[in-house]
Amino acid sequence: MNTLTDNQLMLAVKAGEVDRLGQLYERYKVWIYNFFFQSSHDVQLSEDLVQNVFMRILKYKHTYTEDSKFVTWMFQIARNVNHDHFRKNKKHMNNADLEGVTYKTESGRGVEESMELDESKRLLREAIQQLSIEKREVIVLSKLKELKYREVGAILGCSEEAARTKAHRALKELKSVYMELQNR
Amino acid sequence: MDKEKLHELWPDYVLGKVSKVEQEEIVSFLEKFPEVREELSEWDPIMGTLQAEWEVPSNEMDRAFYEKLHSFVEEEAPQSNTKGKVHRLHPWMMGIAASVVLILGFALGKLFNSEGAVTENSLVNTHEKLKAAEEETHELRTQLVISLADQPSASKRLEALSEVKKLDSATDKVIEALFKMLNNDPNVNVRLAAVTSLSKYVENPIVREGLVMSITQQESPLVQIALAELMVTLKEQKSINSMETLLKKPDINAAVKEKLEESIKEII
Repeated sequence: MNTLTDNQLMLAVKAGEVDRLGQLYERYKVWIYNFFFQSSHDVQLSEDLVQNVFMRILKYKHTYTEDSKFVTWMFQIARNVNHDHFRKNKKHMNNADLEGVTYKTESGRGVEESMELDESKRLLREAIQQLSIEKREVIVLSKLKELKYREVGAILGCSEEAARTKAHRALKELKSVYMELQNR
Repeated sequence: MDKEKLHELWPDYVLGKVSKVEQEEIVSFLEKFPEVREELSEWDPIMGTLQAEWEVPSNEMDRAFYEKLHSFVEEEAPQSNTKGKVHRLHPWMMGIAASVVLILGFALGKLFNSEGAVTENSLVNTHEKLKAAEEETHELRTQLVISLADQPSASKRLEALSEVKKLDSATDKVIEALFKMLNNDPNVNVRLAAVTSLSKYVENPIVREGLVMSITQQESPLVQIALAELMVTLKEQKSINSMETLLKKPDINAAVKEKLEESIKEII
């Protein structure tokens, strides 16, 4: 059932077998969800944006070609969805939004350990929020083990080396912001 | 590996982007030079949190996705079905379609062009002729449906389903053709449209039974959901067993599972 490649599935979707998108959705829903969630930490928003990505895939299925690489194409759409949302909501975004974020306590850990982990998670989330949308994206994409810098570059529209440089810069900035927050 | 090289590679290490060989070199270097590991300790909180597991989205997201996909398929199918339809018919199909129009035209012409006083006899006669013409039209449309249903092109088979909508009643052969499409058609749009077409004839117990039996034969989540929704509308008790059988399949889709469980509760 699942032996078809991403490319074969997407070409079938393009040819009218729209339900094949369900298989691609099952393969990549966690990736796309985390692409949004890791930078917004908003469950509802991330789930809504995932829907937008897959509906855009349907809307623009005619633009997919045999030479396209599905993951790259899908993440390019996800970036567009992310940027559109960011533009629309820029005026309303402020630090107060962060206060609404809830944090789960992971079961099975000691209270102190959980608190420490929660604290570092909270700081990291706050630090990520302070980065530009481009830097957040490059970190989340580079964090995905299955994507090489070459593929991250294809998604971002730059070379492999440029993608690596962008990832390093973004990560170093994240560390600096994190340390500032930790020391305040 | 030296200290400078290690510092340069460290962000890649944090992001899990180093090769196996580089990773082994890094680990071995840090074992030899613990002071360098100390220098890099400011990365630890970030590394620990970044390397945490990915979050998993909710089942609600799956349900919403499959509902949207289902709506998209339903909206797309009739559009592609009617677009340029006449031009895509084969000459022999055009012949059948033209006959339908001619017979109706002839009968209507007879009715409105009859001269002289309208007697009771002439009215009965005209009514009979019109009825005969309608029957002939129905017969021809049925033939058209059966012929189109066997075509290798999915768009032709969708045309067959569109023609079914114009039939007031369906013969056994039409019902058989519809079930053949529902259970065996390789194209999901055709299978979904077959569910819609068959839902018109649910008063027929054979159709109801066929729909119930079809539930376990379907592999597409979209068709499974469409059938479950139809069963809820019909409050079809007999469908519960089929849905429970489908629920036991190990590879069942999460959204379908949720839909079937909801449907069973609603029918009970």
